[in-house]
Amino acid sequence: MPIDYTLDCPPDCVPDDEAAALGRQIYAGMRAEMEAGHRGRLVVIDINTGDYEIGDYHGSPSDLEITKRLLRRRPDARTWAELVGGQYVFARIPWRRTMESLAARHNELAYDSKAKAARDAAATCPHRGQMVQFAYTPEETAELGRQIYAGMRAEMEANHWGRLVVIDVQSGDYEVADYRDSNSDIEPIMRLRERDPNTLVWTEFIGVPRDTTVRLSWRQTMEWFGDLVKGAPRD
Amino acid sequence: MIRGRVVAARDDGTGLEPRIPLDILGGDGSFRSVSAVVDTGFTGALTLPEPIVSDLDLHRLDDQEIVLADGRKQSRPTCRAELLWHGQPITLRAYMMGDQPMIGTALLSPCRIAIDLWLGGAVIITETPPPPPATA
Repeated sequence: MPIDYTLDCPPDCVPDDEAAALGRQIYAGMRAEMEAGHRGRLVVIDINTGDYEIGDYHGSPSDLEITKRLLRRRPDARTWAELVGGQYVFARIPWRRTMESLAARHNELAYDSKAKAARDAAATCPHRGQMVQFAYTPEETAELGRQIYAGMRAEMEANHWGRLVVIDVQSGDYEVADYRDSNSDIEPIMRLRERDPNTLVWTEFIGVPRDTTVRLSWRQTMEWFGDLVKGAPRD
Repeated sequence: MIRGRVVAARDDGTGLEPRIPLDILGGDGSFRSVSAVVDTGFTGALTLPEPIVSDLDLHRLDDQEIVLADGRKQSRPTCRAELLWHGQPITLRAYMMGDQPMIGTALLSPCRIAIDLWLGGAVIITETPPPPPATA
């Protein structure tokens, strides 16, 4: 699986697996408390001290914002992130990132305010190059899903034209189903999840491109994403 | 037929919005009724706030791209929701966001909506098949 572990780490970094094990161990001790009051939120833990920061999960920038807060208080932190609630796999896969690479990633986002926040974080962090760990973002999941589908496209188009395929981007396991509407991939996702509760999925429509993207109303946009639309930085 | 009410969105009685009750199946096997705003500018089926998704113990599905009203794109987590619609159980993808449930045209269609747009007015959603396409 093409996971990018090539980013530079300082020589004193805890090895990836050890950091992940420590992170999981610390989270296991706090799981009950977290799930009682913070289901659906993201917790970033400093594996050196056990200190942590909790924040709302609202897509891929969440990890950066919460980690940034923790790093301000614990500049020596080595971080591990978990999404509280257990069903969701957002933070289960170790992902090495430096603050610089985070800035590079967020520079690619559409919102200038996010990119500026990321650049500021990278410029002011006293431990530039500090290793942090992250899961796949939605964008990375999409990229992996597209890569896996490219390798199976010919076979799929020959045998399943017009149907859809749901791919587990971690294992390559997949489920094919008929396309009826934008909800047709729900049951295949559930079947994959029965086989592996941590599955992280990507859906491709075989042979026939279909746009299932939904549009929000102005009311939803302004009430829920108004600060993005107005261009104000979120922190 | 589904019946709801027009309520005030703000404490001062302004900001009228049509709402309907929605029965959603929780992880414990029982239905929970939530109040949902009818928003015909939303082309998806359903949005649910994350606390409701957690309370109902709904299964997370994936992240889906959504388009904001100004054309910008965002990625949001989704979950699987089973609910009663015109008395029938249906399964659909709900987008996890916002502070109140909202339903959009993907759930409403095909239907006729009648709204008495005053405080306490009736909201009536009737299943209505579209007319046959016009022939040339």
